[in-house]
Amino acid sequence: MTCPDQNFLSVPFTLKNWLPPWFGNQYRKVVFSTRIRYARNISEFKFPQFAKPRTRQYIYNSILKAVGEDDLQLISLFDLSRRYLELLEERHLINTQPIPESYLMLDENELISLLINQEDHLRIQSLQAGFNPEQALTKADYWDHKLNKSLKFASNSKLGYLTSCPTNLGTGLRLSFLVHIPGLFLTGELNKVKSAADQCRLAIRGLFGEGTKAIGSFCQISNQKTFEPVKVIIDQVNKFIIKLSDYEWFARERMVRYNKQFLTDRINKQMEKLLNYKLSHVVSTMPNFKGIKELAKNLSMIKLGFDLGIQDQLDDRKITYLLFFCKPRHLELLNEKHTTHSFSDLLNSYYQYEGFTHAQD
Amino acid sequence: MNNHKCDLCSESEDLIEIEQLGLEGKTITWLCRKCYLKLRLTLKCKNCGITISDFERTGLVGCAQCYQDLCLFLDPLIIKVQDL
Repeated sequence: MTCPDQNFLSVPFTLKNWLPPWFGNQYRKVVFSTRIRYARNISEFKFPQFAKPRTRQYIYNSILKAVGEDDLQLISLFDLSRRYLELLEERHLINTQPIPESYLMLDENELISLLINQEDHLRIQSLQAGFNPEQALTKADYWDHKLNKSLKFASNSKLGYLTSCPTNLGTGLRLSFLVHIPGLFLTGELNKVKSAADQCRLAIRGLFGEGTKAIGSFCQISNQKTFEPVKVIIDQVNKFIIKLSDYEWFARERMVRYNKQFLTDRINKQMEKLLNYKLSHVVSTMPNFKGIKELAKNLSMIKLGFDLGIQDQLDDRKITYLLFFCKPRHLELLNEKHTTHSFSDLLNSYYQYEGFTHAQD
Repeated sequence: MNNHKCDLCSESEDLIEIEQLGLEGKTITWLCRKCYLKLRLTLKCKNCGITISDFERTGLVGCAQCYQDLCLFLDPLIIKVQDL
């Protein structure tokens, strides 16, 4: 939790946009973002968890040299305090506790990031808004090819790219989509989605990846098998996501057709609740996630209300902004900036959208 | 009636069938229970020293060579998780 004598706002790295460009424009109001990740290791060296500090330092230096002139910000993860690590985790940039000599390199829009010396020597991550696997893949491939020119990635003809965990062998590719599916949640059809995903060997995870639960009807859907050719993996996940978007809209239309009044009342009630929330209250209930879950559920309903044309009091931009901020460390940051504000004040605040764009402002 | 024997000691009783990955697909290795258990306890990666119990504890291998040196135990797992 917040350490009262330390100003959380003085974030020790630069985040150009509080709302990163990969979160905003949605595909069919369902798919919020596309993520491609490659896991790579450098030949001849032990994997990070088992390597000596000297080896990890060498790996880091080699990757830094291979990155060359490209303008990426460098963050030493091991030196960061827990809450800044959690802040990066909430922005989908890291996902495990760092070990010494682990680093994150990222471009100013957070669309490309290189994670060095975590589970693998290198993880290349490419994020895009909406449903955009081609663009995400093109950017990930650019970095993969560029780095492979001077670093020899560990691979063999039997297993493809060799990774620290056998679940990433082969292509080392994980394609995941962040989807908002309140229709399927509310109509109780999530189990059908889960069994369909199981059959296609796809994983449905919570908002923050493995081991986390869905919050505010957000899930991440990704391939589990990494052994097939890249194109096959991408086609398979793409097809599932397009179908999922269809089913989500069937569910939404069904609700409007048969339960519109009930849905409208519920959305209006959630809107009233949101405007009366106190940010400090949400933050104070954070340790057990109760406040966050409630707020996320609330925002998810309001977003659904906007998507279905039931409410227009809050537009898509404002809801999206709040949805992105609906995470413990992000809310903590907002709270430091606006301690006494209610959400209603906050929504009318200039800082909310324009001025609050840089952590070091 | 099968005529399989343990690939290490030629014992024909109490055999365990272990799927392995080859360049041209899956193959089968046969081991008697005694050899299987002995290997499980003693097999180590020659490069990094990781054992199967280390792998079971962390879910991670230590280096690229582990996939070669510990393939007897890793291949069945890869076949399962990758649905090969």
